[in-house]
Amino acid sequence: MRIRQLLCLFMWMLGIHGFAVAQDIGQTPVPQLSQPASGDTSAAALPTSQVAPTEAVAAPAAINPPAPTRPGLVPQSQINAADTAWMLTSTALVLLMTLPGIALFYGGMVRRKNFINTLASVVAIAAVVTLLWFAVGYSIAFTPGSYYLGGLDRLWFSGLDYMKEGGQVAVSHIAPHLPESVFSMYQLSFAIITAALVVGAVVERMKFSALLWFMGLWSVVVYAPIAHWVWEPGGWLTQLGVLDFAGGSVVHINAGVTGLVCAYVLGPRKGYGKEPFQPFNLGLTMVGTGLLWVGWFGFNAGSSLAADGRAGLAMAVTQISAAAGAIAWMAGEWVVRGRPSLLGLCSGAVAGLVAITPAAGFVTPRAALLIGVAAGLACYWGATGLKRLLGADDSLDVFGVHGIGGIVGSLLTGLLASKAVGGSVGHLDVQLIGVLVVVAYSAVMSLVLLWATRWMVGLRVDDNTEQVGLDLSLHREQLGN
Amino acid sequence: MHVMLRRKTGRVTDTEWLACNVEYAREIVRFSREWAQTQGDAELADLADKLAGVLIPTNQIQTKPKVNETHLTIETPGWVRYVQGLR
Repeated sequence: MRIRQLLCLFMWMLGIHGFAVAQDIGQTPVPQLSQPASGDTSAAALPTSQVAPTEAVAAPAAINPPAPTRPGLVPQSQINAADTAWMLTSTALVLLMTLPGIALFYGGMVRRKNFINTLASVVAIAAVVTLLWFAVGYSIAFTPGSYYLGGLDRLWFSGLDYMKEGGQVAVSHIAPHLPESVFSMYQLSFAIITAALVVGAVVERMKFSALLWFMGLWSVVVYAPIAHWVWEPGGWLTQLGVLDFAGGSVVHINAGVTGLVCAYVLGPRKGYGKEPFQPFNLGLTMVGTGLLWVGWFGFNAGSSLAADGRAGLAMAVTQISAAAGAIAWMAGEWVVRGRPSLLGLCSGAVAGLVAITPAAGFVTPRAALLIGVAAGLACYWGATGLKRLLGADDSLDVFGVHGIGGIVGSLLTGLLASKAVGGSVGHLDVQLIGVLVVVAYSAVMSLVLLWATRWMVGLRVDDNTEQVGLDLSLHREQLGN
Repeated sequence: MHVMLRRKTGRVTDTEWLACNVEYAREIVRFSREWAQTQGDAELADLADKLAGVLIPTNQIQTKPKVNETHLTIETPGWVRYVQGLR
């Protein structure tokens, strides 16, 4: 059975590769993009955000060369060195959020016997998503195609060239001042963290093989299309006017809803609600929170895709919202439970960071304070009261924190987006449509993929494996005393 | 017993929970006896008997502690930390 699965995977990869090669052979020469003056960082050369709202980029186009509409080659002199340096840094920061940020954040919260499995899940997902992004994900997410899916020009990163002798480099039409290799890696780090976030909902009982199959399929079938809808200029939600600066819907609502669906389908852990599931080490969770918090500057300020004033403001509002979220959650817990907890502070900070994500390039610092407070309180309810109402064993509250935080942030972006900051005015009804679409697509497709995964390898470990712990049972590894 | 169970059966026990929850202790005793019987492990069977004889009666009294003594771990009657979730 396993051999057949591996063979299928290998043949599928070969098939895609063969197709990519055929595309290369039959393809017309790569178009040369227009060339702004060296060092040009005007609005025509730089997208204003990952969202690139149409109204924000339309005005300056009249006085500058037309913005490219497809990926292609440009002279290296068109590349902005400062922006490239910042985006390289941001890419490393966002990857640091997953490796080891999310790994430690989640690892500290599971029981000791499942710590290694949690870390292994995050590392393996990072590797699987990377290869799939390289093979297919980037192309269908970030190249022009239809309203619903990108093209196939960049399968296996074909055309993502750097030619030293010719002095040319490939750029994306979304960020024509950056090497496309940097842009694609930056977007990859988002694809990785989104998939890794889902781990928190399934820890301690999902088969390792099932997790890899599911998340691999999910990154291509769910994540990449949603990224195209929201972030590629031709995507239908972008055209509709949905604002999502750094991934409130693409990353957080998407991961939160998928986590909730997984929790329902997998069922609760053995002993859930009857035995205490003591977290292994909340100190590690705090370390993970710190890495997330710092890395989020790359996540949000990096989503400006330039080292500019908007990136600076995005960084400021990120810090303010994180702090407000931490204080709000702490206050809520102090009032309701009588004691503030370290995990509450960490969770509140993450809630604030999640909620400011869609808004970071659109709102003022005062609005960020409001968003942070709202997210801290809403996510505290999401991880406690709402969790009991929903009745699912969402082990580490992925929906409660990321799903609810993403929804709060996306809706508040519609209310608080300032035209002076981002060049766009938000619309609550449009944001609501964006939220509902992502929730529905993510839920339905996750369900379908879970069924497919169950059919292929099964979803859940057996009772004895769960009792002994996934570290020893699945990985033949164990923490020392 | 904790060490022996881990070494021989691979099962990891929560000793703190074992010391305060009679149902969990009963389950560990049952599991140990079953293993000892099927594997012919007299040493583990002896330890299981000792646990059953000493720990369980003691803890039956301790499972309903006074509120004043337990305010750090039990917030409301029947609610134990980390049972309903982490947060």
